[in-house]
Amino acid sequence: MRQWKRLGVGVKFVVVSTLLLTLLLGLSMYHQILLQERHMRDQLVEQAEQLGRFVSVISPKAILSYDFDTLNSFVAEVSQQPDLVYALVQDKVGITITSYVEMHKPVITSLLAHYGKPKVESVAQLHELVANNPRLVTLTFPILHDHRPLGEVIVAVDTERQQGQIRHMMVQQVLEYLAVMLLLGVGIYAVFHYYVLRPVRAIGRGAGRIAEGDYSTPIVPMAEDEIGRLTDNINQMMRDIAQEQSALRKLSSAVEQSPASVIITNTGGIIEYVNRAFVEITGISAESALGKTPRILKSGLTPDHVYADLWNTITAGRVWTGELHNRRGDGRLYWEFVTIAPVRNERNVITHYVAVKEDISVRKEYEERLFRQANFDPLTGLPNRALAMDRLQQMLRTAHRGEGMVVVMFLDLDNFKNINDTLGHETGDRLLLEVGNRLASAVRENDTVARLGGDEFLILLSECKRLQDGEAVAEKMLSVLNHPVSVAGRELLVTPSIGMSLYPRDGVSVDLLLRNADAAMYQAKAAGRNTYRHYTAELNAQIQARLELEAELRFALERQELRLAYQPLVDPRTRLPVGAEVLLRWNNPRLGEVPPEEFIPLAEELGLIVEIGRWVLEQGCHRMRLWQQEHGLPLTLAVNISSRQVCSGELLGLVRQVLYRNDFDPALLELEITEHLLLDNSGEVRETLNGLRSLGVRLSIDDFGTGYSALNYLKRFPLNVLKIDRSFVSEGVNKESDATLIRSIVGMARGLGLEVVGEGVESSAQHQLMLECGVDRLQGFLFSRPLGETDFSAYLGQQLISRPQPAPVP
Amino acid sequence: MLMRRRLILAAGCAALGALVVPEVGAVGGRPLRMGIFPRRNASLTMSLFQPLADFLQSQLGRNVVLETNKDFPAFWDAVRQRRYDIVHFNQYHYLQARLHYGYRVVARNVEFGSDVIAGALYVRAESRLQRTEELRGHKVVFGGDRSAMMSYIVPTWLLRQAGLKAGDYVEEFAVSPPNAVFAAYYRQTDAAGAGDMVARLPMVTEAIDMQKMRILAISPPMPQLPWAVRDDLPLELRQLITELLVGLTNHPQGREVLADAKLSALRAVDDEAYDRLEAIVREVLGEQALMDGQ
Repeated sequence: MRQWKRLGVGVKFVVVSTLLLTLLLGLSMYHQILLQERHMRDQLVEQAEQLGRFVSVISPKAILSYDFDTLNSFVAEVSQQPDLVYALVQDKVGITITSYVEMHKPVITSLLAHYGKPKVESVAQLHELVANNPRLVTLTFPILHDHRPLGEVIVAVDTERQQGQIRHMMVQQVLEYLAVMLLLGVGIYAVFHYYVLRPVRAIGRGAGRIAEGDYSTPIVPMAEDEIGRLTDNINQMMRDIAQEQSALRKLSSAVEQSPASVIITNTGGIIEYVNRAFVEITGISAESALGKTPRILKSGLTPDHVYADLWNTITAGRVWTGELHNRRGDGRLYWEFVTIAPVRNERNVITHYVAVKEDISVRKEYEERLFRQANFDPLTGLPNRALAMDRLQQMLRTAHRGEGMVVVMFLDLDNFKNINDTLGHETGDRLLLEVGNRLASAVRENDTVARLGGDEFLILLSECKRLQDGEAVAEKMLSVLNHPVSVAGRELLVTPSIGMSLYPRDGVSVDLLLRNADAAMYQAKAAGRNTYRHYTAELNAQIQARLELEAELRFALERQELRLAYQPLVDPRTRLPVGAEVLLRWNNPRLGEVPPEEFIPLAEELGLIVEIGRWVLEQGCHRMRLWQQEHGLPLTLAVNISSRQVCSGELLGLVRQVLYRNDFDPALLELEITEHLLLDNSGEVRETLNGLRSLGVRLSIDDFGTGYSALNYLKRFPLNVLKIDRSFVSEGVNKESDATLIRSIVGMARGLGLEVVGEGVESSAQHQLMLECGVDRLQGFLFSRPLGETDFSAYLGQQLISRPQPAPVP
Repeated sequence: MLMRRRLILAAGCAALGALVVPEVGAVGGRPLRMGIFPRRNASLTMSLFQPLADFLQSQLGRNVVLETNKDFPAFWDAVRQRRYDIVHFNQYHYLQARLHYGYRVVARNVEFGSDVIAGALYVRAESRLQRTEELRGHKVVFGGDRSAMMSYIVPTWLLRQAGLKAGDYVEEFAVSPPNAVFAAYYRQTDAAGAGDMVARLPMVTEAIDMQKMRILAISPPMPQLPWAVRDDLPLELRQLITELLVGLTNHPQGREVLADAKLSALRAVDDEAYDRLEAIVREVLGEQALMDGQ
């Protein structure tokens, strides 16, 4: 078969044509020979029939007269006929009654040899032996006399001569046919060669050039027939291929140079092509990748359902896009954005898959980072508020469907602010980190511990069956935090206050549950801290009040419900006013006069303090400048500055503008800050305070002595004034220790070049103590309550009337 | 010696006669007519015996005409008219011819070396028939007809000798003695009546295997077929004819004649030799059998 395939078309054509001709002529010859044989056989049989019938007609008389000799002579006579092997007559019971046979006939000798018999004794024996030989045709004719059977004549005819004639004829015809086939073959080959082979070989040479990549030399058409048109089509195809190859080269170059990784596989997933980017991105050489499957990149991190979806999509003939988390050749993980498209052939059958893959590891990293930033607390790694809210929402939906309960816990560390203020934020952060870890260890995997900010944590317990489940977790949290935390060589102990609300008992919405838990947490704090509380209706009322306060406060400034009060600062010796501390008052039409200790923390909490503080500064400076000008005295104005204002970034500009607008002497403006602010040893705070100081504004530490005892900040910050807390002042007259402390503070301040102001002086004894201690200025009810603008103006006029006129204030 | 002289003389006469054929008849008188009983067909008869006629003609110096007949009646009619000068009979017809038409036997055939012949009853070798009388109720085919001496009369005589009368067996006839034997051989009959010479005839031995036949009964030897001459021929001529016939074996041409006639020789015989046959005929066929025209 292989040798047949190697044969030329011409040889195949001639061979096939010859075979076909041979087959056809052979069949024709066979048919003719069959007809001839049948004809000759019929002739033979007819001849034998004539003889047999003749004998049968003339035999009755001989039989009836026992004239066997004559009968034998009949047989002998007919036996002389060519092709007749023998004839015999049998009586009606089958006994042969003739004897003539020419035993020496070649046909009989041949037949006897065929049967292995040298001779037979009679024609009867011969008949028995050879009657059924296919070479013979045996015919039987009845011998009748008056319609009475007397016997029959049997004639055996040899077909050998006829066969010989047929063979001769067949040989003759074969020779004739061979001659015809030879002539036909030569003729057909000549025509085939001229009209087919020659142009086909030209086409073959052209195809060879195409195979070698030579598309520049077209095939010269040799005719305008079908082959000519084929030649034209091939030439056209050659041009098309040249164009397509050019395009393909460009495309191939583009694919090869593409920054995206490209893989082409067969339908079994076996890689047949990878581009340069693939090698660069994966670190796997093309030689290593070819013949393998993309599983060489599999990291095991992409979920199985993604691969299932991938295969289902592409095997269905659609394009799949998605992201795979794969592994590079060196083991590093990376993310790919993958587009896999099936490649179909001209019959629309999928033959390959092409995958274009973009390394999106950086993007995924950003996404991951953004996700973590958006959803997790960077310090503790715990879910942040946003994620906690989302999870709570999910828990509520699940609980709603399953009629379960959800416990929401608000956890706040007791006095954490003090730790932050005294030990610094770094220590505080490390403490928070440890607290977060301990809290996370106290809940189940399905539960959530989130850090909302500062020292506030939110704990969400799902699938709770009863209220006691929440209590158990709260107890556990109290327990895990009841062990000191070692931070920077210190053993710190923080206790939590936990408020719990329960879905659906205490609310069905996220906001309400959080609010109620928050309220319960405050209740826990109010209950002495280091404990937990459930949300109660009483607490709810408090919360409602707070909410109302919040709502009103938001519009207090706009509605001009806020006003300023001025508490005089006096010279201890003369008791004459030297300035005032401006204080904020709020009178709401519905709530009445709201104490500052209620609404100022709330304003701070709500962030309203920045705007309010701006207004206080502007108004206070404006009014004090008028009084300065009215009285011609360098009256100082002390203004409390919230830490939020300091951190807002606008304080420095604001002060500069207010001073400028009101032509206010910076040296007469004292901005009061708390110790806590100074403990926030951040660059921003320091920069702001230095800026203020550079303006000439004086900085005062309010409530000095209530904070932490780290006094080194006094040297680090550009302070001017210490205001001794009223608790020292009030106790100083009763406790020598406090009096000593006051003297120490004053002594220290002197050493640092600071002025000292005594607050809350309410009695003459306290005044006397302050005098003895050398305090520079005093304020308190002993001298004056905080006064409204009009009253303070009157106060000033009244106090300064007997005072010698100082030099006018510029 | 005398015989030789006569033969030389005859040869010389014949040669002379041959030279002057038209005068031969005149010299020898009328032609001698030779008749052969139609034992065989006319053509074969002519082939067998024309040489003999020619030989006699050459030896006798007068024309010898062999006349053949289309059938036995024509032959017998010629016999009754004494048309033949020389006649070859069968034994039965000779008995009639000598009794009524003046023919006298001069020689008899020697066939297969024997100048006698016997009638026989043939059966197949494997036949259960062992004795002639067992043919009672069986079929017997005889060669020729009732005038056939060795094929019918003698075999029937054998049957009579065995005590079988006409009607005790079925009597049928074949056209010739060999065919009677053939009939027995081909199981067309239980027995055949024919002369014992039949078994030696080439036409028989070539056609059938005589080893598969046996003779159930055979008669005593009887004289072979006779050659007779008309008793009114001159004595010298009758003697010359007799000498020529019985001397054929001594003459080269004569031997050829014998060979052509399928005969071993012709031998002299006395007429009395046929008397016993006549008795048998009378016994089988009855006294009327030798009446003229039977």
